[in-house]
Amino acid sequence: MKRLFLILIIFLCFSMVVNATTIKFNPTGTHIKDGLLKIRLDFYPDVNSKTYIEQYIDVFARELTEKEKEVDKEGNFTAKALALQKLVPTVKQLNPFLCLFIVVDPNITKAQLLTYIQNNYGKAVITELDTAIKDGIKTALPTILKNKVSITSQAIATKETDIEKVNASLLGFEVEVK
Amino acid sequence: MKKILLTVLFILAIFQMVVLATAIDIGSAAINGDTTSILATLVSRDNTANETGVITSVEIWAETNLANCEVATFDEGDASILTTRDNESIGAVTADSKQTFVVSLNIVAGDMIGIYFSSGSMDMTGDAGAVGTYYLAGDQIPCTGADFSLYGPAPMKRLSLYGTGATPAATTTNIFMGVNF
Repeated sequence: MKRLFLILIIFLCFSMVVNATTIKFNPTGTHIKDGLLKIRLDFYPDVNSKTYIEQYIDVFARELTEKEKEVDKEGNFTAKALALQKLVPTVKQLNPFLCLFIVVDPNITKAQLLTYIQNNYGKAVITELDTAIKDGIKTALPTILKNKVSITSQAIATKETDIEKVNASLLGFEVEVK
Repeated sequence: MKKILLTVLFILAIFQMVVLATAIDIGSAAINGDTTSILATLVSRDNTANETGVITSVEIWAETNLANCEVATFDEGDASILTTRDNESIGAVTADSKQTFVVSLNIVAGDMIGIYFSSGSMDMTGDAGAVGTYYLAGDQIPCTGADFSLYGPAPMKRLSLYGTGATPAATTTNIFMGVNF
């Protein structure tokens, strides 16, 4: 009986591990195109998604030294450099599987962005995006994202200072979609 | 009975003519290549655009993290003389896996795809069958009539930069005897 109870507890603990896609605001991608202010959202795959294995990668734990990144005249790493690289410690890193841009008003707040994501990027949509990218059906992306890449419904004339303004306002924004 | 059904089917087929958008692709597959790029504006000569329309996604495989990255479509006038058709700033690009960006870049059949970043390096693949990559020092996005050089030495290099898109929106048109309904 005790053993059964223990198994049940372990099962419950495992089932409490929630898998979620994380969407993060990336200030490096904020730009103006055709008079519209666009912000960049990076989608990080959840552990059960199709793209997770491709994006959960090993990276060097430190910058490579000049000797470790020595290349030949064709630009390839030399045999010596490759041998040295094998000795450099690595760490795991999760990269985004998709980076997309949405048109926003310069006065957008974190609360408005959160509501927008909750209304437009549910689990089903993210699964569709994940599948389209994994299966190489990039032409499906515009269909999936139709009416989902603009918070504002009209063109807004913007100026360079709006980039700083929106970056300051949304800095650190991230949300988990379960 | 069969004849009537066939006739009905035939008439329906004539009336319902679906005009689908054609897929566009440009550049070479974003793969983990065997060589690394220099710091310059790089333009892929391989697989020029097959149609006119809009590039909606760009895939990049970077060797090391890229900063202040811009992607662009280029028109080649005279040989190696390039002019930017459209461009978009995408920001930082993480290295060591294929990164997909949803963009909107106008493109005309025959155009090339290119990239600029202020630091980092792109993956490239040496291939004797490749058409190669153009380069020009500095940020050439946008540019008008800039004189690029062919990236060397041999073998030619494929840039791990790939774009996909489509011709203008798909339409469903009912056509009969040349008349739209």
